[in-house]
Order: sequence, then C-alpha cells, then structure tokens
Amino acid sequence: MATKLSRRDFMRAAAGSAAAVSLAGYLSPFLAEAAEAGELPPVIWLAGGACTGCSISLLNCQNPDIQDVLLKVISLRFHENVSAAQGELAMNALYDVVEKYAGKFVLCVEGSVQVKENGNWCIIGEREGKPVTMLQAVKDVGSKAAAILSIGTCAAFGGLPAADPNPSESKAVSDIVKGKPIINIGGCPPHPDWIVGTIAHYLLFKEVPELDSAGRPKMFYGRMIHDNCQRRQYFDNGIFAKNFGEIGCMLELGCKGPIAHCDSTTRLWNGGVNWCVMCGGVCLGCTEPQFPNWPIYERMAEMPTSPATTATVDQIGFVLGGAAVLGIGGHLAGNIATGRIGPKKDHDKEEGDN
Amino acid sequence: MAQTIKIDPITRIEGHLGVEVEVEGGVVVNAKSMGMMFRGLELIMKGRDPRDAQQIMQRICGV
Repeated sequence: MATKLSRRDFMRAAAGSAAAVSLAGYLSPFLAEAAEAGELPPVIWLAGGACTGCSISLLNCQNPDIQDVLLKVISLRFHENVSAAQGELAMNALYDVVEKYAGKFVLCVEGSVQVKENGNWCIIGEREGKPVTMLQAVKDVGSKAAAILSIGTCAAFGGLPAADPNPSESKAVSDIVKGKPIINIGGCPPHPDWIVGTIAHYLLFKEVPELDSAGRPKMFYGRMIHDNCQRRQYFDNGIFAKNFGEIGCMLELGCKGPIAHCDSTTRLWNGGVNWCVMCGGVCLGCTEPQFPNWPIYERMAEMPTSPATTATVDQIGFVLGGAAVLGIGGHLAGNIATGRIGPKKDHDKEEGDN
Repeated sequence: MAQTIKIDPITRIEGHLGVEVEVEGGVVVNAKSMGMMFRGLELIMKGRDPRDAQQIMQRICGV
C-alpha cells in the first residue's frame, strides 16, 4: 500500500509526468487510500455555455480509467450527461446534494455562465414548474461549495462564447461567484491529467494548489509552450514555415506558443501520443484568458501576454531564450572540441560534395 | 382534458434539451422539443478570417 504522499512528491509527479507515465495512474493508490478513510467526496458538475468537450476530455483519462475515478475516487452526484434521472427528478437530486453536503462538496463547472436577459440564454432544467438558469444554478450551488473548479477556458475565462461580440454576455465563473476558492483549469479542452491532478490535489491536501496570475495551477501551467516546443530550435535559427507541412517554426502561420502556458509539449495527449504542434498544427493558445479573441492563423506583431499587456515575440523570446542560448553555446563548444564542427578535414573532400 | 408532460433536462445527451408532450386520451396531440442554450457562434464568426471557422465552429459540440 502506498505511503503518505507529500506535497513535494505530488508537485514533482505532476510537473515531471513523462509521456509513458500517467499522472492519474501514479496518484490512484493515494487517492484510493484517501477515499477509504471516509465517504467519497461529493462532486457536482454543471454545464452552461459548453460543448461538453471538457467532459469528453476527462473520459480520456487513462489508468485508472474514468470508471475508477468515478467509482473509487469521487462520488459524482450530478452530471447532466451521466445522470440516470432526468427532468425534475434530476434537478431535485442536484439541490438535495447541495443542501445535504453544504460546504463539503466540490463544484465543477464546464462552459461559460450566460448572463444576458437574466441568464435565460442558458436554462439547465426546470424545478417546481420554473426554469432554472445556469446563472441561478451557479449562484445557488457555488455559494455552498467547498471549492469550485472552473474546467475549461469557457468556465475559467469566458472562452469561446465570450469572444467578440459576446452575443450571450458570457462570463467566467469567477465573475459570478465571489468569496470561494476557485481554480481555473484553462484549455479547450483541458488535458485529463490537469483535471484529475487538480481534483486529486484538492482531495489529498484539502487546499488549493499554488496558482498563477490567471488562477491556474502552476504545476500544470507554469511552463511556456514556446520555451519547450519541439520546433523551438527552428525559431532560434530563424527558420520559419510559410505553409503547413513545411519544416520550421510556425510563428508565421499564427502559432500562439510564445504566450501559451501549459505542459502539452511534454505531457502529450491521447495517452501520451502527440500534441498540437508535433502533429503539424499551430498552438491556438487555448489555455489563455484571451482565447480565441485573436486571428488564429495570422502572426500577430504584438501578442497579448495578459489581458492588459502585449509584447512582440522577440521581446518574449529574448527573456525565454537566455537559458536556451546558454545551453546551445555549451553544445557548440562541445562539438568544436570533438571536431564535429570546425575546419574541414581532408577526408571530407574525398567523400565528394556531400 | 389534455395532460402536459414536461421533462427538462433530458439527461445523457450533449447540450440542454427539454421536451414537452401533450397527451389527450392516451394519444399524443402535441410535442415540442427545446434546445435551451444559445451561444451565437455564427455571430462570433462575423467579420473573422474564414480560416478561423474550422477552429470556432468545431466547438459547437465537443462530443
């Protein structure tokens, strides 16, 4: 049986999880132990202006699969796509859990909260003959939650529904509920490890992990895509792809790597198979608060590094590149010393023009 | 006397769906189904680069 997991070990596992090692798999014995100690922690999942893509991403959780997470780690009390009950029965079940476990349950929200016309642009169900808007539900349920996880960029920052001109006046959960610990798990969708890892951290240590300025857990969002990109070398050498399918950094094609924070570069998706740039696409910057309020396939002269500031990619690259340049410098010196780079030797000529 | 049966939400489907059925003497005389959420992705696409459509519109449904 697993021994007690320290916060430090957790952080190390979360940040360093290699492609072959599933974070969720690593955590499962500890979570099972925590769960054995008492009743499974109740979780309520609400969906507003959502596409349900975040739920689907969570289904992609590997080893343990989602079945184990649902049956052994948490007790999912309400989820519109999973509930067997429907209609008023389901809505009553939701509000019963809120009353019974007030201050003890974790609320997961997927999708933005639409506030236009008093929230009537999103109605999640009907109770006592009256429609319940997402706005009302988030206020009712959120005000009694122990903590709130805003899952996906829509719930965390407004995301796609809040893109200009924001027809439904979509807002982030943090704009609606105040005074509760809220963790933003950005991403469109977020990686299952980011979701499960954050829930696990909260369940194991009963506190919110260290967050960055956008309210995201630093253990998953602390790194810059551009800084760890497999195509970074092309950027440093000034080799830029002009069309999709070409070799080179994809900045000119609209890649938002220089402003995007997450660990997709090393964590990889679909069970550690691939990620956006590695399969030839640009980084959309989907974990960022400004997504998708920018031209997706055009290079931006000034990139929004936060809602209030912009910078050119050279300014970003200069700060980021320092450590990489040092590394490359050392590598070059090594190559010169071993004779791989330097004045041509005689045998090069004998081999012809190659 | 018609009886109205209303089920909202319909669970185990993607999105927010409600159904209202009127039954009279064991026969369904009227039925409505209602999609209860609107984001206006078409309005968001207005004036954007056409290439953005593949990223914006695919997010209509993530299932």
